[in-house]
Amino acid sequence: MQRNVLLFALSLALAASSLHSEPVTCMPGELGNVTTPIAYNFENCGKPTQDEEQFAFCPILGAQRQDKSWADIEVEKIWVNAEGGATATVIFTELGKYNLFLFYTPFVYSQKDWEVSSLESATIVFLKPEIISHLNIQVSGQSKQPPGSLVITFPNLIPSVDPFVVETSEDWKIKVNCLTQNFVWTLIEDPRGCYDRDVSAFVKETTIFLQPCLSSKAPQ
Amino acid sequence: MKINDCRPRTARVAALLVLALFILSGAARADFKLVSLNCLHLGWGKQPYQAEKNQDLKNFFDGEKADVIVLQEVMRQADVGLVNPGEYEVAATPVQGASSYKEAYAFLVLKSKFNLTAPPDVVISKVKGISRPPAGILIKDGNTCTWVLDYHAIFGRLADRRSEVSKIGGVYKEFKGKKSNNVTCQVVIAGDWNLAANDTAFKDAFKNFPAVTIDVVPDKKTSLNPKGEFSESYDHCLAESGVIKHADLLELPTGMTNQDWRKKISDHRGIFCDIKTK
Repeated sequence: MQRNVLLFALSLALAASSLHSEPVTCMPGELGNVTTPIAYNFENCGKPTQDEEQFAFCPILGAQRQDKSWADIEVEKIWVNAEGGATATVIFTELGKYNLFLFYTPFVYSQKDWEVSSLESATIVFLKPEIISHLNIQVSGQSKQPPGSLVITFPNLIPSVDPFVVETSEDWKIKVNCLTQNFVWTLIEDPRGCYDRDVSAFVKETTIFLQPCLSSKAPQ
Repeated sequence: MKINDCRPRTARVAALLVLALFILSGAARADFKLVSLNCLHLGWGKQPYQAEKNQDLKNFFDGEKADVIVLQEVMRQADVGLVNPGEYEVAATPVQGASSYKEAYAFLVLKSKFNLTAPPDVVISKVKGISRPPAGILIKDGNTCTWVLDYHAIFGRLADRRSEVSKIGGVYKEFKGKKSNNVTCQVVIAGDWNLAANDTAFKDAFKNFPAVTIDVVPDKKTSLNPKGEFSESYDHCLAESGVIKHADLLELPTGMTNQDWRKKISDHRGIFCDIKTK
């Protein structure tokens, strides 16, 4: 118990050490002690646009087993600061090695390897996420297209989480501000064409080409 | 004489008519209307969005006159009582999900229809490998019984979605095996499947049960994109053929457009399924 308290104090100190702001305490899915979304201010990209209904409330933590399946975990609390440094208390139901993902926004996460050797509540410190400033995606299709924007779905790495769905501009451009992944899984299902692939985020500008839709995905 | 002969015959015909009407009304009473809605993070959102959404849903359900309502995306912070028009018993599961993102399933059951005096017990499936295992309530009316299950599939990659939905055959069998007073009950699974009704996963789910022929309905677009346009065919009821008499999208409240619904209520339109009981 005393060890846990010490670990907790240590982790809080670690999480707070690089802070320019006080950490926010939140329960998964709650606003915590704030009445507005967590005002992240990530290095390299400033304040990202967020899906306010989902990630603004509290970061989402997923634990992936080595076989890539997702474990059932109970997250008791998360302390997070504006830069994304965070500490989470987590109860695992199985021993083993995990790859933990703490998602702050649909595109920004902190990742950590973790081995569970006891099923007691674990206190886990996440460093602030590494950020790629932006990714501009230009969608291209056939030469004669009916006008109008496209809807793009970005499924989350954690499959229990709803995908992030956004609309492009009229000329089929979209800018993702702030992202961690070196790829963005992109899904388009439109009468004008389909796309279901990872888009590399190493380059900051990329063009993707709509493909003919497979019959099972042909929009009605 | 003829008059005398006629009287008993008229009385017999009248008695038969009354009996037929009684039987028919009994059958009609046993059949029920099931509504399913993914209510987009019920319990989340800033005010006044949340209060207005609860009130809109309450009014909507009041107008629908459904017998059983199943809800998906009910968050830990939701108070399902706030969407109850008043005449329903409310039951819900604990929140479930293989990450810190968790949702509950909620059920509203019309008290007068099923003579309920307390919320129904909710049973969660024990089938492994489903992120949010479906949960069911037992609907009993006279000698008939139906397990009504609520389900919200994962999103993830298409292969992951198909893998999860293909386990639903096991869930169906699990509940089919739960007898009520030695009677085998029919099973209906309603919810947001994140797959179209004609997807191969539904066939795969029942490939080990060749004697079971299923219907997955409606087969219409139900999800709404950010512009409020129909996007995907994701919401369905699944049951053995012949159990679902009719299924379709719910009508929007008067004066409300898909764009309004998307903005105020959900990224899914609700569906209804008319369930025939044996």
